[in-house]
Amino acid sequence: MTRSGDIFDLRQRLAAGAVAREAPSLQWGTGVPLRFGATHEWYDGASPVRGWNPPLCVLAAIATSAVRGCLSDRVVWIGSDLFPYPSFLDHRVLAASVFLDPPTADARVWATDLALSSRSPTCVIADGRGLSLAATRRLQLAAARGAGIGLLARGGGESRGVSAATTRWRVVPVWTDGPDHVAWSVTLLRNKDQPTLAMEERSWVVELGDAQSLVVVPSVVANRADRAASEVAAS
Amino acid sequence: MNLSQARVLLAGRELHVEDEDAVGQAAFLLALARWAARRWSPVVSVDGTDGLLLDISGCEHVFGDEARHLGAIERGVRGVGLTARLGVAGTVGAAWAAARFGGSRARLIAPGAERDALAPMPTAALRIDSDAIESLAEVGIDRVGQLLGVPRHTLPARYGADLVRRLDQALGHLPEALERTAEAPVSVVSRELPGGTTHLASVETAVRMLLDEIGGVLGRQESGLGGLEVVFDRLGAGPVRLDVQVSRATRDAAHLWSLLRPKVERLHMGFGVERITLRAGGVVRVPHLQATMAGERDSGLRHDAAFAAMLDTLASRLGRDRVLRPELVSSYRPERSCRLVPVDEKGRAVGAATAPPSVLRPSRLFYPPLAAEVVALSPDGPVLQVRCRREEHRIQSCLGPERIGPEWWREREPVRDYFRVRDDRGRWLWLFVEADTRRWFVHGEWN
Repeated sequence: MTRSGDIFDLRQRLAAGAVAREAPSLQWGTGVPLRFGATHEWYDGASPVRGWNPPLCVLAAIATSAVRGCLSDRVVWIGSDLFPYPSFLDHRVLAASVFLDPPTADARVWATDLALSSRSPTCVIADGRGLSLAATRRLQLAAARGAGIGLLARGGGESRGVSAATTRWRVVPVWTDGPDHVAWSVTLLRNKDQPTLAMEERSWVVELGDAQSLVVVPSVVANRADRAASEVAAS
Repeated sequence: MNLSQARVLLAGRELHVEDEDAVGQAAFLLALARWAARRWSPVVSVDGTDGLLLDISGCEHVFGDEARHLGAIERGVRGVGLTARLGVAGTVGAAWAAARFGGSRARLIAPGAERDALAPMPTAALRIDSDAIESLAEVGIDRVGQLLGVPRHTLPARYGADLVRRLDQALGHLPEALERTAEAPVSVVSRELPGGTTHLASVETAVRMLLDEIGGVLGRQESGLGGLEVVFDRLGAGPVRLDVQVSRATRDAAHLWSLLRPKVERLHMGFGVERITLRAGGVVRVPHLQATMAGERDSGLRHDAAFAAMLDTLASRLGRDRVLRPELVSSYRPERSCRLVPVDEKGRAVGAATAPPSVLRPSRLFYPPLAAEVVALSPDGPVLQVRCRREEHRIQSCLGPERIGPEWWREREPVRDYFRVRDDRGRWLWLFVEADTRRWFVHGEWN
């Protein structure tokens, strides 16, 4: 075969995905990276009275990491209940953001599917309430086809259901000692890439730092620090 | 009137039949626009196949006043052997209507008088499509004045959102900018379907061939289009126009077809489509892309193109008012300091100068603010307890106040004192109290 024939063959294989390309992963301090080309679900810990309480700060901070780390150049927010207050967003995320307001749940799934299957490395943050197993599988396949990452915010009561997402997390606000610390407890419920991690149900305390960055501390360490502070106060 | 009808009317007489030269006409109109831009207004836009739009704001004093300006345009056009119908108004829509339907009386509409001037005109004066005109005529609405009497909230569901948009644009309730297209090259391609056809597959094939053709024309010019107008000339019925807007200039026929296809499938073909014309608008230079060894993933330009194509598809299906981008606005009030605009709308200057550090603003803002019952140590805080939406919050931390007043021209609005408070479960809320009424509201939260 000629050299040009070799090159043509290689291009065909690349285009068809026959040559494996490793999808990038986003390291965000927990030791469990968020893989691109996959969907990741986030369950809120809201009380029934308040209804849905999507973890916008955590999702926005992850989007900021993806944009600043040049892993993603666009952020798509899908579902009007999930739209963050633009003044809260990092300026680079703000400039890269597009807000979609599909009128129905079906349109929301379609728009999420389309955004995830885009060849542009897009961070897709979508309202994932009420998704069926088939819908989560559809979105997971769309993400595998595309170059982006899917972050699906779901209702707290749905965490017991089945899903095709690669990782599943629960986010609950927690009290910390700092005078103005905004903090959450983030728990890994499931990780298909490393199932044994999920069995241990790992948990972290995540604080919102300056400039939309997250400060992540394992819960064990955070609780130990709280206990020590309490003992000092008591003595 | 089509050729067959003309032959019947002129039965027995000798006819000279000549094919319409759509390309030549478009080129002439463009030349006319450039000529007008050198004489009467720097901002001239080609309007469809038979009109020009001139933004004469600030130009009238050169000629004395608007009436004299209009007279100068009329004399100039007559001087080159053309007959023009002219209209002047404070809005594009009203001027368009005045030129086509105003006659000699209503060709100059004073600012604020659009409603009265448009009232006696036919509904076609609103630049709405023929389907909407027919639907209105079915219920006896032939004049704009009759339409203005119909409750506004009933119009979108019955006649489409475009009717309300056109009405608002004509009356000046919605802005409408002129796109300066006079200097841009215009590409038009056309295909005859002899005898007309109602066969959808044939129409689709013809449109796809025309898209390939116009893509080739644009490719040779290293250009891409920002909008596409497709005109279907129907036998025994008026033409139907379909518009497609793209967020980023393109000449990709497959992408344009994906946007056009749903509209073509819904096309009412009447007794048959006998001609299809594609007109490219907003033509700008789009350079060729170098092919890369590792496929399309490695090129930023290709990423942009892929993302723009996705946005076009979303806007085509969901509507452009549901595909939005955030924009900061210069305002102290949190609810006015940002807005969402259609992603293809040209942006204004960002009011970053007044934007505070983002960590001091909540991740979610409530529109409108939620009324709350608050227990505080003193009328100005600190806050001890908040009750909002039937939920009690025992407050452990209270930071503030941060005073936010209205802009000086909105002096009637109350000054607000904002507090960031944290309840015993670690949840942060953004509260404010109005300085004059002492009413408390929850305006946002960090969630």
